[in-house]
Amino acid sequence: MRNSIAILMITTWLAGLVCSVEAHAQNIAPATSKAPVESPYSDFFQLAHPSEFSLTAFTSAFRSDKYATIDEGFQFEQRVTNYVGVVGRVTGYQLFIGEGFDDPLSPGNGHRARYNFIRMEGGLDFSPYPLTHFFFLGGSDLGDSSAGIIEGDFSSWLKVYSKHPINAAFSASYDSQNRVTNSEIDLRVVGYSTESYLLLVGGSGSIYGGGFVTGLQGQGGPGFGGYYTPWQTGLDLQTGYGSAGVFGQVNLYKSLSWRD
Amino acid sequence: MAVLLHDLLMTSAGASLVLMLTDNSKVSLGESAKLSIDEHLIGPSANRGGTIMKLLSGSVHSLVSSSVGRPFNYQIRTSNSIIAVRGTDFEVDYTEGKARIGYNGCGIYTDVRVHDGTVEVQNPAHPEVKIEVTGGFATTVPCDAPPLNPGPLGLAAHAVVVGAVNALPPPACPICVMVHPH
Repeated sequence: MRNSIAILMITTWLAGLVCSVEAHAQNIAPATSKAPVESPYSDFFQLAHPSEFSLTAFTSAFRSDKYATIDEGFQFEQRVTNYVGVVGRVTGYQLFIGEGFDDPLSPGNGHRARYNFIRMEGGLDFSPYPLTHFFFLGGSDLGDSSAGIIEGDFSSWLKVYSKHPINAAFSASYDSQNRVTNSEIDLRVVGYSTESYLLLVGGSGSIYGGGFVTGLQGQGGPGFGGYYTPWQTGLDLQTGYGSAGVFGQVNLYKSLSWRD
Repeated sequence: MAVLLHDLLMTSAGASLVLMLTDNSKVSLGESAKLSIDEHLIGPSANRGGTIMKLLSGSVHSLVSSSVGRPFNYQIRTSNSIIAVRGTDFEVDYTEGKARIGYNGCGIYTDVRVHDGTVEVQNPAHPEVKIEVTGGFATTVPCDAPPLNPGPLGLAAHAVVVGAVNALPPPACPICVMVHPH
């Protein structure tokens, strides 16, 4: 008689769906099994199971010699399939513009040149490849700006099976009211990581033009980031120089996700 | 409920199972998984002789007890991998029948995620290649290929956030959003 080697503790999420124990384990099929292999996109149109809803709250501050901004908002995404998600984003902006602007970090000390508006966008997130996302968004502003916005964003991780994976991101948006096109590219590398956190270093640059912008303008500089996995919380810092002079930027974000 | 040597443990979709071994090691089996325990020996002096399990499908999360001797021969095997434990907390996913992009039609994958300690991963087809995966890192063994180099574990969670956050405001040119900038 075989010896008893373990005690089972069974938990079930669904009534009646338990486990079964069969004697005489099967032999493992060899790695070269000729069993039919489905293509990577065979489930492209199948609903995601389990479905996932995520919510990301964010806030950031940008300060340069010529202007400063504060913004805050949230983005939600409902995965429809494993490759497509529906995205909505709401952002509130406060802009401080002009020489001697009222510094958002020290309000009341400069003349007021402040604008407020809300930007509402919606669209789709395509993820055709692991750790890669394409966002296609559209929307409009409410408040001191009433522009229509079209936006495309891309983010992908490269060299993921290494100690220092690289994240490449590109973002472009078009403002239908002032006809200015913004574009930005980010490159970051994981400098150090543990199970709990990632530390990233890299740089980013942006170019904008069209509308009232004379010629092409832009800015760029190094950036540093940290991400604490258990809290799904990240902090990005960037500084640099460009058409608006020396600038500094801080981003803070936290993500929550639910699966059913 | 007692489990006997060579029993095949299976879970249905939506179900999970927790197995407490006699040495207090904990094995959690995810949904739609199959696992057999082929060896589990504890010597009279309470030194662990060895534990060998075969994962036929699905995922398994192991918390290996260090209270009974040194966990020197705790292994989880799949058809294309042998994962030998040098630590305490790790997960193994075994999938078969669905290709992934970039692997030339390979349909067999063993994914190993290590939360604490170190595990050694090898493909029996390449016994000369052994990869040590430390806590906070993960690797994949595709078909008959050697294990891939370990990569950071938190990347998947972070990638989803980064995918969204890279595009978040402020825009590259905050002043450009205004119709009549000063």
